[in-house]
Amino acid sequence: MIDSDVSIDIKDLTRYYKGNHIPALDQVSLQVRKGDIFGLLGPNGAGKTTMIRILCGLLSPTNGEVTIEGYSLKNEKAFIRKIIGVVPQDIALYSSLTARENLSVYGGICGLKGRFLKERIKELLPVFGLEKSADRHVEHFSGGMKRRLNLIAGLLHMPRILFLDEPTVGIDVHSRNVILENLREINRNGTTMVYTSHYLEEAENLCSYITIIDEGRIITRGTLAEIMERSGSCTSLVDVFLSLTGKTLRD
Amino acid sequence: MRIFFKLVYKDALVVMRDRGGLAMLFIMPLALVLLMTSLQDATFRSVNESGIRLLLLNNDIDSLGLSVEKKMMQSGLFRTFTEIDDRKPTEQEVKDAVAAGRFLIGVIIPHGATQRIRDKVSRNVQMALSGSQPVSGPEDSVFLQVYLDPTTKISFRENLQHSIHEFSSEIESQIILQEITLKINELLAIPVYDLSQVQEEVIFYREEYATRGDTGVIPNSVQHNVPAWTIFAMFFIVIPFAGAMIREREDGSLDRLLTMPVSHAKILFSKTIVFLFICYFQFILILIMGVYLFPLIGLPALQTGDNLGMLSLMALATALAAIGYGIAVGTITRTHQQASIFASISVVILAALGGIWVPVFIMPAFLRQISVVSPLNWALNSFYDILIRNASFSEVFPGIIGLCLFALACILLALIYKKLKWAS
Ligand SMILES: Nc1ncnc2c1ncn2[C@@H]1O[C@H](COP(=O)(O)OP(=O)(O)OP(=O)(O)O)[C@@H](O)[C@H]1O
Ligand SMILES: [Mg+2]
Repeated sequence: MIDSDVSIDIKDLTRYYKGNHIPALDQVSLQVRKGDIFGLLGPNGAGKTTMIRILCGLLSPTNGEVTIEGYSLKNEKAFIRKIIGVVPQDIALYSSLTARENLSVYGGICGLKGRFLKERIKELLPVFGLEKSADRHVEHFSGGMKRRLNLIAGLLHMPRILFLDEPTVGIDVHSRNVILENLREINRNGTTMVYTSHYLEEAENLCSYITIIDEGRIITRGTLAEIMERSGSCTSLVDVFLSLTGKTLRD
Repeated sequence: MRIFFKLVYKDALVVMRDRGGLAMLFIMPLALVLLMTSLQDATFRSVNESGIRLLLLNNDIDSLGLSVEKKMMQSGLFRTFTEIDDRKPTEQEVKDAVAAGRFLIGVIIPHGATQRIRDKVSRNVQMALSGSQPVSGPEDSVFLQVYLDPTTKISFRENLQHSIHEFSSEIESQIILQEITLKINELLAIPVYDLSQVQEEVIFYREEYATRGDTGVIPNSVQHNVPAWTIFAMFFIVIPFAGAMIREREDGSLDRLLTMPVSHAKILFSKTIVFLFICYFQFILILIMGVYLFPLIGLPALQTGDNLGMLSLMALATALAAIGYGIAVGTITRTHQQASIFASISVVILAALGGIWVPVFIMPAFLRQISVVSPLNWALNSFYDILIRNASFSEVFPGIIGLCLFALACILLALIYKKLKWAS
């Protein structure tokens, strides 16, 4: 049962929200392999954020089992917290603190210390184009700048597994390409990623494995090549999605 | 531990960045204590120095009337007048003079009041001797009519009513006992010891201000008001505390922290430490103001004696109770607005119940009984024990424990609430 290749193992994951008799996730089973950039794609309300929140321990599933790197999410949350990083869909930063202070707080809590923490912050800020704003208060940042800082805060401590919930929304094309390049680099250094997005082209380029969900259920999965092959005439993920659901994704 | 320091650093930084909030945390309590103490000091002095103007119309001219008149004339509390414009007023004139604000109180002892008591006594004694009917004690002040200036502050009015009531019922019961003694002697022809001697001295509410031993602590408005308003101000820490919790929750930072290797308990504990420090600092500033600034502006200096250690402990316990309450409010309310409205109203209610505004002993009996539910009351009593009665540690200890238990109960409530919410 334990496959040394598997990083995240999800079995029959179901989640109902209070007052809603339609599940946000409906018996989803999937596996994320070590070293993958796992794309979790789907329209608004598909259940992507619900999935990410369950995987990082913020939400308990109504049903189903999850193990991450062999640890049970239910019973060994403390271990899991030490090896994951999360970039939430909604920006989570202390707005009265500066960029550097935010990173120092989050990095410190994730176990980085002293000199190394400082160096790491110094190294990452320029990568995401924030070196000039390092000591400005976050409340004065533009939306895109906050989003980039939000991203750094999640990967600062070089987690083994990184959850990214729509990390590039509202970021200009150039910055987005820089970010994607950096994510690839981080992945090459051994970080497994679970990545959600509406930008299907972006996912086509970035992800090594793709799962598309809609209304809490998986509608297709595989590598990009596998999905395209199965879909026959389709030329892009957008077409695949349209043909499978009859819906278009917002972009 | 390093991680915990990082949390404390973060919470301290967040508090310090909010300059406006910080100023309010320190300036408002100082202003409140200063203002309330000055106000009360003025009232206290004017009452003490000039006395309360009281107009007495004694239509009785018999034991009751005469002893009331005598007592009132002797009292340091009242400045008693029996005439307006050099002549004895009528009942209507007494009412009018009080209504016009010329006197704070008008007291009318109606014609034949003593005789009415005598009649009642002899009826009672006869009944008691002839059957099972017990002798009834003095009833409420049916013999005196008291008028109060309608513009006087309610708290002050209650104070006065209370003392006049005590005053007159005391005299009444003395007379009743005297009359009983007389009656019984008449009937039995065996001399009975004068029962009225058994009665104790008239009890004034001011008894409460008595000091113990010769500690040199003189009861005055400063010794009373500084602790009362300090406790009140400290409890307002509930609002910024709950606010900090809610903001962290709303901006997603809490969720992010919860995906990191740190427990929710630590996150809250870190805030507790930071806000305890703030409260303690508030307290020290108020003490410094009381001790050094008050004398400069004509108020009596706050006297802490050598009780600084106990006072500090009390301040921390009070702060802890306030923070515990803040944790409950911050957990149960959803928005900052909800939290501040709920917190401020509930703190004002708890303060009123706890005797911050009006001393508990002049409250109506049923309120006096409820007042013990207010942690502000426990805090206030313990502070009074230290500042006025110079109590020992063992006497203050139950108060400290009570406040800590209150904090604990609040945290438990928050935990249970979270568990229930999480479950759904
Ligand atoms: N806190 C909540 N309470 C009730 N229902 C919720 C809650 N959060 C999400 N839902 C519901 O669960 C479903 C899945 O929501 P989720 O946020 O997981 O979607 P998503 O795929 O992340 O969408 P988006 O692309 O808009 O971010 C939706 O139907 C949503 O209405
Ligand atoms: Mg989402």
